[in-house]
Amino acid sequence: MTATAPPVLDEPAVGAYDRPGPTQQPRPRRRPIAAFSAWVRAGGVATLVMFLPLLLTFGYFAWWPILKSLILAFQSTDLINEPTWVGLRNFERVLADPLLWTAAGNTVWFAVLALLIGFPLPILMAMVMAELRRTRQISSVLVYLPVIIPPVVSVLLWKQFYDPSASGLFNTVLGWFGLGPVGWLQDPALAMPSIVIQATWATAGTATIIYLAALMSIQAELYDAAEVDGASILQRTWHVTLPQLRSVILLMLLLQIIGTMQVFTDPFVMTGGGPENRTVTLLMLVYNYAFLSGDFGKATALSLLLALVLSVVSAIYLRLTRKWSES
Amino acid sequence: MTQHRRRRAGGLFAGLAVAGIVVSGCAGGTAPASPSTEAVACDPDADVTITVGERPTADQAANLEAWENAVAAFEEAHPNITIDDEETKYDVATFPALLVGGTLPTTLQVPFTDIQSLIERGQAADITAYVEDDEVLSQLNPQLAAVTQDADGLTYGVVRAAYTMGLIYNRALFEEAGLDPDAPPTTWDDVLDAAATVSEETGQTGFIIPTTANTGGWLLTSMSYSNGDLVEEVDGDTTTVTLDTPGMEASLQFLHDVRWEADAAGANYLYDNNAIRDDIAAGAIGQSLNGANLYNSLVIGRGMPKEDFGLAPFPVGDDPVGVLGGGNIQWYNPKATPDQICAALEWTKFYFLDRYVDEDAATTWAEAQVADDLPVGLPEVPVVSDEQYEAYLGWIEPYINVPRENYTAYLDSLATATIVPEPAKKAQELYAALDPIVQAVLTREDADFSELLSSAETQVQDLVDAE
Repeated sequence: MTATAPPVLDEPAVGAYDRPGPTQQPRPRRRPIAAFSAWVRAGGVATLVMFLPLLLTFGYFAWWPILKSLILAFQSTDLINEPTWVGLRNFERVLADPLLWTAAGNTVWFAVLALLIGFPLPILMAMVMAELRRTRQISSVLVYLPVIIPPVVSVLLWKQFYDPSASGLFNTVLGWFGLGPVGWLQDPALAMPSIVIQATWATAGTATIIYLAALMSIQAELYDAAEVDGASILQRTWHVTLPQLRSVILLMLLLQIIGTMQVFTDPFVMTGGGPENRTVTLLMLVYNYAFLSGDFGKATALSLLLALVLSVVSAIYLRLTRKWSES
Repeated sequence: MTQHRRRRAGGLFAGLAVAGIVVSGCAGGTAPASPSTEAVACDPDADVTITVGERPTADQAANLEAWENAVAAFEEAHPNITIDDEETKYDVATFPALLVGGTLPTTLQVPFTDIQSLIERGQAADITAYVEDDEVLSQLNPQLAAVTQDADGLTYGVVRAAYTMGLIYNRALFEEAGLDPDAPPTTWDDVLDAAATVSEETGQTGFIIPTTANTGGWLLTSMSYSNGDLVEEVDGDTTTVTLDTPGMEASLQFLHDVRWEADAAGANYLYDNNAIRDDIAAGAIGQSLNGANLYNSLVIGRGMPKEDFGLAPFPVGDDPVGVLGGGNIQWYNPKATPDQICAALEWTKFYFLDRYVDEDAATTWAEAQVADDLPVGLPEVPVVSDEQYEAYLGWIEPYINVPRENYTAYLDSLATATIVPEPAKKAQELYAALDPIVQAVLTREDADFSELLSSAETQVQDLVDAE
């Protein structure tokens, strides 16, 4: 940790004030009562009162259930009697489930496909839209439109598009070229890519708008200078656009990894995990444990395992990309 | 450094949030009450308030009025009992949260498919002591009563309506294909032939079943029963899962032949139990398997012409062991007090069962159904004795609005039907393990039945043994 610690310049401003610098004198220690009085005079009570509803709401509806779920992972409960402590038994049962590794593989496969298909697309779309002058606003609306469709509606809509009969929308188009019909969701090899395409269509709008906003904030002088130096469009993209976007790209990448590892609605509604468990994901397994088997111990144990894996992945990702994002 | 710690903490928090998502709806409830499953005598005269679910919604005006009248009449007849009624219905996704939160009604309807799981998890009240000496409840159809019992013979619910699994077919498609809709298929070979004919003559799917959300496994289990094999053998405390059996293989061979030999299974092999109903109602599927109560869902819910709805007995293979039952079971809250459970049983008899033994109750119910354009006279397994049921049919005869003559074969089969309950242990997990096998047979011509069944058998056996 210390060997790779960032330079002092990267320390947050608040930390810098707290630490006595070479020219600063140590602050005289206040007595607690005086400190409290100063806090009250500075409007601390009003701040606390205004903060309290938020604190209570999040505490009761988010943090407390999270804490309870952590506890539940180590218990067995029938939801009627007092839960009993079972140690790591729930985790052992989850790890012994042969479907776990299928679901983990499918989830990673979804994440990889989403990265390959869904990650570059919004960047490209944002770059194209940034070049538009008169139609940028309408294109933004059109690109964002799928996002405002409720997720389940969007999935059901695409389920119709993927109708495996020859009269299905996509199969009709293929038929014009003498191809198909294709079992988009019925074919074990095509099912997951088909879901990823739908998910990309449904969510790319948000990422595109964020990239577009970031692109708009890049100083035009940088492009002017590059043009003066004779840079081509590709060179300008590579040497100006992408470096300027890197912090946004890194953040979006992390969010996408976390988001795709939690995929549920799309395969749940579109294929129910089929064919032959090829689209069962980890969260679907959690759902099945909890609501089909009524086994909340296993469900929370798997949720906790997923949370731990995501935390580790996030930490590694941040460590690996720290230097790049700060340079 | 602080910034980086914050980032890591953020990542951890985002991860932990995942764990909270699933259980946030149920983890914040009140502490569970002490168990009330031990038989304790109730006081029938004690002042008690019960909550009952399934109050008809406002769009069913006549049924709602009949319900409100029934509640008033019940409270008049039982002045010590107060009813709080609500529209809550059983939903597998919300049931646990309501149970933990203590907001489930005292009594609620649950489907046949779920009662054994609820019993297994201790989430249904033991009502044995209250029903064994009751004049009405102890006289209900004993075949059906077994569905609500555990391996020790203890009772956890009251069957208030029942049917068996059946062959659902589209009479209009049969006619279009040149088949006689009044002579539906009776064996698996007949179904295969009819599927091929419907597919060839009409271009529609000849035969298909739902295959996701455990319905594929549920129906494959039903097929196995009809082909001679149960899926679990219970011997005392030992349960042996038996999936790699001739009955299962025959069932899979039938599905394989429909798909790959007759090419009559259509193109969609990932139907869930809602999507397939859409297509059956739309006339795109000639035959399927499901509960015999599908009339409501297809005709009332989806506008299928009632003349087109065909219902036949579940096809039979070699040495059938019986047919899987279905229907509605009145469940009782294990958190309820003995007095509340006894009051809820009185309500069950009054509202759901009296119409089978009381002419006024029968005609009042039938009038409300007709006024709301709901069916009267649907084929069902009698929950009371055959004689009593005949009397009931006589009382509602003027109100019958479904073409019972179209279900003659099914109705005739009920007299001799042997109803087999759901698998006693890990039924939903067993169905879940069978779903992908059904999908495999429909999507891979070379699927190895024995290998698939053997693997699923080991998987489910491990789950049963882990208890």
